[in-house]
Amino acid sequence: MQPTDSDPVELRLGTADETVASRPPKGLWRETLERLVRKPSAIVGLVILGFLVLVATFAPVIATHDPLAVLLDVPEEGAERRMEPCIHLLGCPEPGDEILNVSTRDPITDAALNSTNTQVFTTSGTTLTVWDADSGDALMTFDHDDPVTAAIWSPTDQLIVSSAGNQLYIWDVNRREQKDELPNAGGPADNLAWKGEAIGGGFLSFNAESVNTWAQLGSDSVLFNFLSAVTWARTGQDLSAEEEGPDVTTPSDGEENAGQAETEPDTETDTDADAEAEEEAPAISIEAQRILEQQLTWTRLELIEPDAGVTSADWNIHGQIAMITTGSEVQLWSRREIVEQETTNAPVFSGDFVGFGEDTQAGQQASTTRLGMAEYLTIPLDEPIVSAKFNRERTRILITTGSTLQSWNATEAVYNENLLQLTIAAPPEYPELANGTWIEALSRGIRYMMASSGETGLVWDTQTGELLYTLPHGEPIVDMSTSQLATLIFTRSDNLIKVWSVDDGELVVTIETDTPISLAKWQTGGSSGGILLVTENELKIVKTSNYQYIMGVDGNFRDQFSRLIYGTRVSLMVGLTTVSLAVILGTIAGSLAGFLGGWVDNLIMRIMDVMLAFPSLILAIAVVTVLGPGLVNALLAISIVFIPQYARVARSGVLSVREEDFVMADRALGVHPMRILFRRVLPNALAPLIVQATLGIGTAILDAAALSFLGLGAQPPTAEWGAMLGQERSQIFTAPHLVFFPGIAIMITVLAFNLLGDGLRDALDPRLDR
Amino acid sequence: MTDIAKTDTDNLLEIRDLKVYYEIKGSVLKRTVGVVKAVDGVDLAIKRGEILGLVGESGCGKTTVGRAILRLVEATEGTVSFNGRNVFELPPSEMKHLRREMQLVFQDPYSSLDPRSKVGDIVGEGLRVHGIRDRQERHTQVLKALQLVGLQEHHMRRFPHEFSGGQRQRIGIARALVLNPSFIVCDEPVSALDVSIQSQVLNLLKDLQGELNLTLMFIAHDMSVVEHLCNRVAVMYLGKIVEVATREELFSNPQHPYTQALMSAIPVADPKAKRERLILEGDPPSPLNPPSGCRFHTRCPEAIDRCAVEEPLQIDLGQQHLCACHLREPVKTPEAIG
Amino acid sequence: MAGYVARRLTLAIPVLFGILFVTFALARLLPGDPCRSALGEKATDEICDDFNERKGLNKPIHEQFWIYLQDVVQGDLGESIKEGRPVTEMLVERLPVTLELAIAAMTFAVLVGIPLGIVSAYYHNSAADVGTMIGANIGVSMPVFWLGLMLSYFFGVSLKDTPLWLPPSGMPASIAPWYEAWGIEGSRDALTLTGFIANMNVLNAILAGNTEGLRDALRHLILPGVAVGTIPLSIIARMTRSSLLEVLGLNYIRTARAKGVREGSVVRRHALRNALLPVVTIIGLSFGTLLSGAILTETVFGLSGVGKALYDSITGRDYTVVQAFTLIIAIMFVFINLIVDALYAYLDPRIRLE
Repeated sequence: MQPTDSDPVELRLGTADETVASRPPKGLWRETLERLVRKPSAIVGLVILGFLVLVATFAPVIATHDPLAVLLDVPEEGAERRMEPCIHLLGCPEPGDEILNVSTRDPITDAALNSTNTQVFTTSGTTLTVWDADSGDALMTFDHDDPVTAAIWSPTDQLIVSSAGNQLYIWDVNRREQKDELPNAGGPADNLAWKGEAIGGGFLSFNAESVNTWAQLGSDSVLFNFLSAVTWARTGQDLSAEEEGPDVTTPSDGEENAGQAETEPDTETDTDADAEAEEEAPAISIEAQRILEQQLTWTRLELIEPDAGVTSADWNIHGQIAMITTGSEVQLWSRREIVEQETTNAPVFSGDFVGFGEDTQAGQQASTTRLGMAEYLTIPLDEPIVSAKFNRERTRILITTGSTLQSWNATEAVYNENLLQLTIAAPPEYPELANGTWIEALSRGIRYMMASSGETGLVWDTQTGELLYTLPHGEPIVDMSTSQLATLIFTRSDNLIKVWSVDDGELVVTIETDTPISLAKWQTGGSSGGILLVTENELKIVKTSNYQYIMGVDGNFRDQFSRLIYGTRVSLMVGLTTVSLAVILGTIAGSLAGFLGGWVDNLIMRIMDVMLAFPSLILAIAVVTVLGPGLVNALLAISIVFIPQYARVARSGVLSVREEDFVMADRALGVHPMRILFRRVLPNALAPLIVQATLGIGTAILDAAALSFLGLGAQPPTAEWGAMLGQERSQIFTAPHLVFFPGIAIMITVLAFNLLGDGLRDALDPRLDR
Repeated sequence: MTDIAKTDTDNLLEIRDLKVYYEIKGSVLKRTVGVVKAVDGVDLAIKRGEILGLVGESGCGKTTVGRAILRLVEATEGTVSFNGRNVFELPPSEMKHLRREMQLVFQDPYSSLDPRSKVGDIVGEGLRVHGIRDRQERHTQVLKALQLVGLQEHHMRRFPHEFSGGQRQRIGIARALVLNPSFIVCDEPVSALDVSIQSQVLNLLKDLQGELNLTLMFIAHDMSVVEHLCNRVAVMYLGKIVEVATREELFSNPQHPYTQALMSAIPVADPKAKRERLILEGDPPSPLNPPSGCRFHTRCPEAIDRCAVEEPLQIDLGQQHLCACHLREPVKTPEAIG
Repeated sequence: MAGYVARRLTLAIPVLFGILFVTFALARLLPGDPCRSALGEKATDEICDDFNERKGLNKPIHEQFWIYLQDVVQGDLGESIKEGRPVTEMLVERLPVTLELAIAAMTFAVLVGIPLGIVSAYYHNSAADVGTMIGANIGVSMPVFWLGLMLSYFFGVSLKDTPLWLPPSGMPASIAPWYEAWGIEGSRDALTLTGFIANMNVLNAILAGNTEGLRDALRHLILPGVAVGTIPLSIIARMTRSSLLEVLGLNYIRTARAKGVREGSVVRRHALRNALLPVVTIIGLSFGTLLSGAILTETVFGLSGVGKALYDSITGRDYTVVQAFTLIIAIMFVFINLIVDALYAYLDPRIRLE
């Protein structure tokens, strides 16, 4: 307050009327607005903001996907985890385009992609080559003494098993060296199968005469620790915390494991948990795997030599049950404790399955028993079996004979009754069924069944057995298969692959080759929707899906573009609500302080001083720590943190306006103080508040993003830019686009508010307008 | 206080020993580190229907006196009687009522009008506050007030910044007039205006005063303006009245050295006129720490030793001429005041 | 001047008191039982009673606050629940890293920001001016953590195998502490100045005369420093520009030019001196941004500074550390502001008379 009555306005003597001439006779707001739109930066800010508001309003129209939808569940074939942006206009591969083409000197005998679609191996001649699936560069070659007949990735992509001559070779992909060499009994294996998810599951190798089943075995404690390390790495769950396993400390830090498991929320979807575990764990778990693996040895569990020839063999998903098709029967073998003294012809069941997660203490009788395989179920049929296939869970088997498709229940618990669930007889016009396959999606389970008959593919409903549609391939079908998400089917003849939609049986794309196709497989790794095909010494991956992901796909198989679009809503909402709340509270506090003065002023402003003593983000973090993480709490925290600055602005505005003569005039007239505050003082003190608020929105958005980035704000799966960025930040070197776009979005939004705020400041304060 | 002031029932307003002190608080412990004596014992009487000029340098406390009368600043001590009632002791409801009688015109025509309100609303606000709810009635009265100051009906819908300084000051006057007051404090109403406009506003005030039988207290620092308008003039220096006299008496026979200095500062429109100008040296002392004795002694060309020690009392020089100076002799029996 | 500083210091006392109260309240407001959040869910009632007794948690709240105040004044900030060692020890380890980062960032911001602002103001409305201002606007709008990530990708991956490559994250290789080279007793863990300095990698390398270590330390400091410094840089550039523009329009500059003072001299000796005054304040205010930025950037670059520790302790629910570090940061912030105020008063005599 001015202590004397000296009036500084006396200095203006004589200049009054000149300024009037320069003031256009317009309303103050209109004048402000006109001045505002004369600032180019403000126009830019307004335009961007308008655009953002439009985007937020019409987000459902603009977004190509549901922001929370996991593309695997949609389902949408063609999305890979952390896939790079792809826009058709800019040359994104379209159906039929080759996305990889490598060739070898000798004809390729086998090829397969790893589970993340990043590497592909080919076997040709005596070498096995691993290629980069994106660039087509040869990464490593493994040489064998004999021609390689078959090879397979381990489920964790750490190992490759190849079969050459009578030997099986185990290669370590990370170290690029041979790890083991195993003699295959019963002649060279020309087929390998590895379905076990955990190590200890193992693989099987088979040829027409015999099946070898293999497993990684060690002492019980080693096995257990190994399993817990692997399980923890893959699912984020700590076995030792839940079960009373042998008390051997794992090389990985036990305490840290516990901490990890604790902080991992269980509510997330499978893919979420998967992705999280992959991000948090690998460094420790891979090391743990290595150390533990050295204590394990590969052992042949069982050599199975059925009377009739083997047509196919497969593991179930956990590697506990092997299915062997021989002649006209399907045999199911499972892992059992086998008492050595007994003859192998009549295995004795100890009654317990041995597998991970189950009681390993049973192995104490190791001196008298060994781990092996025993046949526990035989499905005899009247005619020779063409093929037999498990579904993804090991619950059902689809058996194809020439004239029927049969769906059998393969649950171990139900031995005898209701084994046969459904039999579909071949329609008269389509005899000679072959290639019977489930049409089964990763997450949605079995949709349909299909088989081929000569030149036609047939698709049936699994429940009713009704023939849904036929796929007129036109040439004799040698192979047919459904993609990972069961949205597409390909049928293959010698030189032709046709891809069909599962939903309606429409032809999607046709791939023709000059040389015969020796092998065709769908891409694995979720849902890449490409077909890997081998023609003589060439390997190609051909794209079949037509989807584009403008900003790529995030680590949880969600469309980043859609999430970004919906993120606009969150950010604008966050900015506006936090600042509104802060402005309202701050203005009340500040104007009361300024208007009432005295101890009220003192108290309020001292509190504000203390709050301003903390850097805003630190205080926000502290507040969220108390309130608990979450978008609403983050919002509250930022509001609280922002109150002081508005209180200060409001107070100084009120103080300066309070001394204005027109307020004095009101008091001389006897106007009530509150009316003076609300009708005279506040409206006139509003200009700096508006400027501060506009600039504050930008800061609020930045701070909210920072909190979310730190995991204190918006929680997954909310599509919030900061959270999106935070979730993928560890992938900056492999998937920079997942970090780049959300950051750009934040920047543009904040920039818009800053530009507008600057423009407003200049417009409301003509003194600065030079 | 003189007999005249004491007994004269013609006095609309009597100020007695008015003191307005501002305390300077220490920034840390909020204890008072100093007192600014903005107004330090002012006695003044204003007669019904007269225009009293209150002159002095910037910072001498004249504006504060004006505002203290209207209770816009809190007086530390003293009384202000309006029509015989002590303004400072009125309960809020009666004070509100009294505000219809006493109004204020401000110095700065720019800051005294809310830039966000239309002229009609600005002028009508007083009516609204004082219970005239009817829109039409308000409109009529606002229009009347505006017409009194020479503005028209269409001006009501305009915003203050669409007017020139002179027009704005007219609006300010209209705002004061609309409640039909009997007493108006004009706080340097023309000092912020162009000289050409000044006379218009001054004449307007003079006319209105005559027409409406107003009593005006005209605060100014410009002697020529005061000479033009006022019946009686009070001269203030550093929170005290040093001389009060009728206009003719004061301008023809200034007694206080400070008044004499002010007079000599009035420009004369004759370049050839050679006058001995009395230039005061130095700045006015700070009211935070006013000089002892006569407050003017630090700058007074005639100061004697006594001036630094003893505070002079107002003495009556006759013809309603009061002066507070040790060098002047009272005509009648000197009487201590306050 | 001394009086002014003393006045500001006394003014800071209630604020410091308020900060202490806030951090104290922070720990008391946390959801859950303080004993169980400190010792874990499995702590029995007896253990908890003992714990409460020892920590004075069963006393009335004002006594607890009094105990807390005494502890803080004695330099006892509590023990980390997770690491089981005094927080002050962690502070000696972590604070130098953050401080170094803050200094690097500020140096960058000032050394680049002020010249940019000057050029911008001097060549007002030129392409350089417009470009700088657009850049500055973008600079203040960028999330620090994003900029950090982008920089580490660009310099760490895109520029791999070029001379411009910089380590995308991590701490510099540990080198021998300087006090060994100087033959002084010291420890990196102890709460001593020698240990504190030894934990400042660049300073340590300089003092130890280890050029290789210095190179390494500097290379690790560049990216985080640039990331953290960009926002202050933008603010400083803008402030310098507007302040210099205002000063250049003042009459005394016109007078100087009219007197025939050389143009460079006008800008350097007459305009800049006054124009840089508000910049000093802005630099001080930027320290808040800087500390916030350091927290975010340290987590991005894997620097084990205060920010990283704060982040780790929040995710690890190590509330003693959160409390202590919040307190330390706030106190640092208050004192930095104090220093800036004092500096401003030193540079601008008018302030002292306020």
